[in-house]
Amino acid sequence: MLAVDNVEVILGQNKIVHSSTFALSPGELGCLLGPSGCGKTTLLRALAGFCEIASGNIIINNQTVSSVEQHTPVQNRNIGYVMQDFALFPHLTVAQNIAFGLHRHDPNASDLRVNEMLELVQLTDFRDVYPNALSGGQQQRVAIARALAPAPSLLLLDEPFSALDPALRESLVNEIKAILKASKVTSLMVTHDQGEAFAFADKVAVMNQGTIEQWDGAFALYHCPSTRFVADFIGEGCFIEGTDLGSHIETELGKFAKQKKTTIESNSDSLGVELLLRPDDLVYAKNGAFGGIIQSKKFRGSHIMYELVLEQSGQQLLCLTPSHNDFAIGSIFCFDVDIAHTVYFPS
Amino acid sequence: MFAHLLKRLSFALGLLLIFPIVFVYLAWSDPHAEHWQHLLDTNLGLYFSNTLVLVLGVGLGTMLLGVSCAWCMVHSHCYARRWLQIGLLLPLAMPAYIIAYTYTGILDPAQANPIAHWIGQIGDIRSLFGAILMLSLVLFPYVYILTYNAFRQHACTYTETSQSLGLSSWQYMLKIALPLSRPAIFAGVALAMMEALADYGTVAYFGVSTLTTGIFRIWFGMGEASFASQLASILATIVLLVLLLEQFQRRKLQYYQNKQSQKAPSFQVSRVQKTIVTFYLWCVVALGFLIPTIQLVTWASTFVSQTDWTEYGILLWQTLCLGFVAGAVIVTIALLFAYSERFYPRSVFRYLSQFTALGYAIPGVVIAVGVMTPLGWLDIQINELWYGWYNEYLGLIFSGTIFALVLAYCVRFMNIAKQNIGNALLATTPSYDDAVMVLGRSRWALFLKVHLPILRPALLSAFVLVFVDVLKELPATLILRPFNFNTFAVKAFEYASDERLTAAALPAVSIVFAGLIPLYFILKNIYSEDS
Repeated sequence: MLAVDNVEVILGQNKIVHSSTFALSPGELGCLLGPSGCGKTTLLRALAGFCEIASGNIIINNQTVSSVEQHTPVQNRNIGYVMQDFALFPHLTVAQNIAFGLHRHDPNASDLRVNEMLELVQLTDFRDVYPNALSGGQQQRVAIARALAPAPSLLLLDEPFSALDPALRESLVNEIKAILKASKVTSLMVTHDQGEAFAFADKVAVMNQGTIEQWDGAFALYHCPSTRFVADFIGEGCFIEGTDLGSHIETELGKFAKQKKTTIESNSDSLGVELLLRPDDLVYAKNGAFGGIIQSKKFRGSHIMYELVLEQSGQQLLCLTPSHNDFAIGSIFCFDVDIAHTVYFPS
Repeated sequence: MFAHLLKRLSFALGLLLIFPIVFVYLAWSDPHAEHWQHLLDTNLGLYFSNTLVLVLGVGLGTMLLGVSCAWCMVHSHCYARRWLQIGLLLPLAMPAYIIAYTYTGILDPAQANPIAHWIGQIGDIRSLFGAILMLSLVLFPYVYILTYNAFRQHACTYTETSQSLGLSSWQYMLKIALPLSRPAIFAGVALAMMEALADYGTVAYFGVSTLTTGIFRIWFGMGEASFASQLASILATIVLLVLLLEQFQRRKLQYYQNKQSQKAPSFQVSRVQKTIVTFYLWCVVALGFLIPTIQLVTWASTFVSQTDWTEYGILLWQTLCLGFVAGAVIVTIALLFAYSERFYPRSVFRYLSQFTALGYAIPGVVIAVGVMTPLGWLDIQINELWYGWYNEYLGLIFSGTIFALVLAYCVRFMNIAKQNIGNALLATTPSYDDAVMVLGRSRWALFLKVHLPILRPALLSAFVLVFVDVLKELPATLILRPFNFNTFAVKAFEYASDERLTAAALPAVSIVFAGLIPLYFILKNIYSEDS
C-alpha cells in the first residue's frame, strides 16, 4: 500500500531525513515516533508531496509518487492530511468544511458523503455549526472527516493530538483509531508521545536524527529494542555493566543467558557490554537475592517506582512493584531479577 | 509563474511609491545657496522656532489630555462610562483645520457673546498658542487610546499589591502605572507630533508661519519648486527622526503585556470626586467635538436656504469618487504587497515594502512636492515628443490629473491598509494552504474560497479607513487636485479662508460625519476586551 524505500530529504543545506525504509499494508496504522527535531514531520510532508526527496522512492497504491526524477503534486496523490492545528476553515460550517475536498462530486453525491462522514465521526448534530463553537476533540474529528471525505488511499496525521488537552488524549486516540479502522484507511501518524504511538499504531518507526532506528510493533520495541537509542527512548530502564561470555552475560546481578534474536553481535575483541534492565525485570521478594537502598519513590496508584542504589558498586536501578510493597526512603529493598529478553549493547 | 509576475508587479509598485519621498531629497543636487541665504536672513528662524514650539506644545498638550483621560477612565469611577468611552474618541473625526475655524467663529469678538469677549481679553485664538490648543484637542485621542490600553493591561494584581502596601492612587500612578506605560504614552505623543508636523490647514488659517506653510509660500509664492523640495526634505527628516524615536521606544512595549487585565476601577472615590471626574471628561469631549459640531450644524442649517445644492451635489460626487477610487487602488495594492511578502518572505521586497510604510509619517505637503515635480517634468517631455510627431499638445497626462492625486494618497495611506490586511493575512496560517492543496484544490480556490472570505472584514475596514482619511486630507489635495476638481476638505478650507464660515459649515460637517464611520472599527478594537 505504502512503500518508502531509502528516502532522503534535504532542506536547504541540511539532510533532514537519512535513507529511510518502511512499508504499510492496506488498512494498517503506522506511526513515526521520535524526539522533536528528528525529521519525522519532514518525512511525513515528503510523503504528502509538500517537499521533494533527494533520493529513493515513495510508492502509494503501487504508483511511484516521489523519486529523484518524478514528483507528483500534492493534489494528485489522493492522500488525506490532518494538520497539527487542524486548519479548519473558520468561515465555513462543519458540513462545508467536510465538503471542501468533494468539489469534483455533484452536489447530491457530495451531500451524501458529508452525511456519511458526519455519522462516522458522530457529529451529525453539528452539521451547521462553525468550527469555533466546537471543542478541541470535536474539531479534530471534523478535521479527520474532512481528510477522509474524498476517500484517500492514505491518511497522514501530523501530531494530531498535540493541540488537545492531555486528559482527553487517551480516550481520543482510541476513538480516532476506531474511526480509522472502521473506514479501513491506511494511516500514518507522527508523534513524539510513545503512549499515543502504542495506543494508536500497529507498527511504529522510531526515528532519531533523521534515521529510522527500528520499524516494529510496540511489544518488540519495548522488549527487543535493536539499538541503544530505542532502548533508551522507549519505556524506562537502566543499563548495568556486564561481560559477554559467549553464551551468556555476566553481571553483578548474576548471569543471563543470551537469546539469538535479541541484539546484533558485539565486536569479538570487546567483551564489555551494557545490559538493559527494565523496571519490571526487578521483582520484589522478601528474601530476595539482592538488596538496594531506596533513593526515591514515585507513587503511581497501582504501582510504585523505586529508584535503588546497589551498595557495593553504586549502580542505580529502577524497580516497578505493586504499590502495597510500600517502603520508606533509605531502607533496604530486596529483589530478584527475572529477565525474559536479554538485551545488551557493546559498551 | 503567476507568483513571479506578482512579485515583479509588487516590486515596480513599491519603487513607484517610494519615489516621491526619495525625489524630495534628490532636490539637493542643486544647492540653491543664494535662496538659503535669503531665507536665513528673513523667515527661516521663524519657520523653525514656530514648528518646534508647535510640535512640543502639541506633544505636551496631547500627553496631558490623553493620559489624564485614560487614567480617569481606567482607575476612577465616573457617570455614563459607556458614553464617555465613545465620546473620548469622537475628536478623531474632527480635522484640526475645521475645529480651528469653528472656534475662530465662535470666539469672534464681533459677536455679542460674553464668553467670547472674556476669552478675547486673554488672547487671540488665531495664534501659535491657539494652534497648539486646537491640534491638542483633536489629536489627544491617539495618546488616550494607547495609554488606556497600557493602563488596562497592567495586571490588577499590581493595583491590589500597591493598595496592600498602603500606596494611594496618586502614588500608584506615579510609581507604577506611568513608568510602565511610558513606551505607550510616547508612541501616542509621537503620532500626535507627526500629525502636528504635517498640519497645514490650522497654521495657514491662523497665519502662523511654520515649515509647511513655508513650503507652500516658496513653491507657489516664489515659484521655486526645487527649493521647496529642499525645505520639504528637512521637514521629512524631522518627522522621520520622531518616528525613529517612537520605534525605539515601542520595542519596549512588548515587555509590558499582561494577560490578567484590569477589570473594574479599583480605587474607591467619593461622590464629589466622581462628579468632578465626570465633569472634566465631558468638558474634554465637549471642547474637542460637541461644541464645534453643534456650531457647525447650526451654521449649516442657517445657511440651508442659500446653499447651492447642485454645487453641493457635484462636490459630494467628486469627493466620493475620489475616496472610492483611492480606497480601491490602495486596498488592491496593499493586498498585492501582503501576498508578495507572504510568498517571498526572504526577498528584498520586504525592505522595500517596509520603506513604503514610512509614507504615513510624511506630511502631505512633502508628498505633493515629491509627486508633482517629477510628474510635471514627465508631462513636459511627453508633450514635447508628441508635438514633435503630431504637431499638437496632448495636455497634462499625469501631473494635472487624478493620477497624481491617487499616487500621493497611495504614498501617504498605504501603511494603514497594509497593516490591516497584513495582520489579517497572518491569521490564515500556512496549514490552510496545505489543507487546500491536499484536498485537491487549486491556488485560485485557496484565494477565492478560503483567504478572501477570511480577509473580507480587514479589506473592508482598510477601505473605510483610507476612504475617510482621503476625505479629510487637505494639503496634498489642495496642491494636486485637477482643475475644477474639489473635495469637501478643499472647499471647507477655501470658504473658511475667505471668512465665509457659514458656507464652509456644510462641507465641514459632511467630513466630520463621514469621519465617524471608521470610529466603529476603532471602537471595536479598543474596547473588545471590556465586554
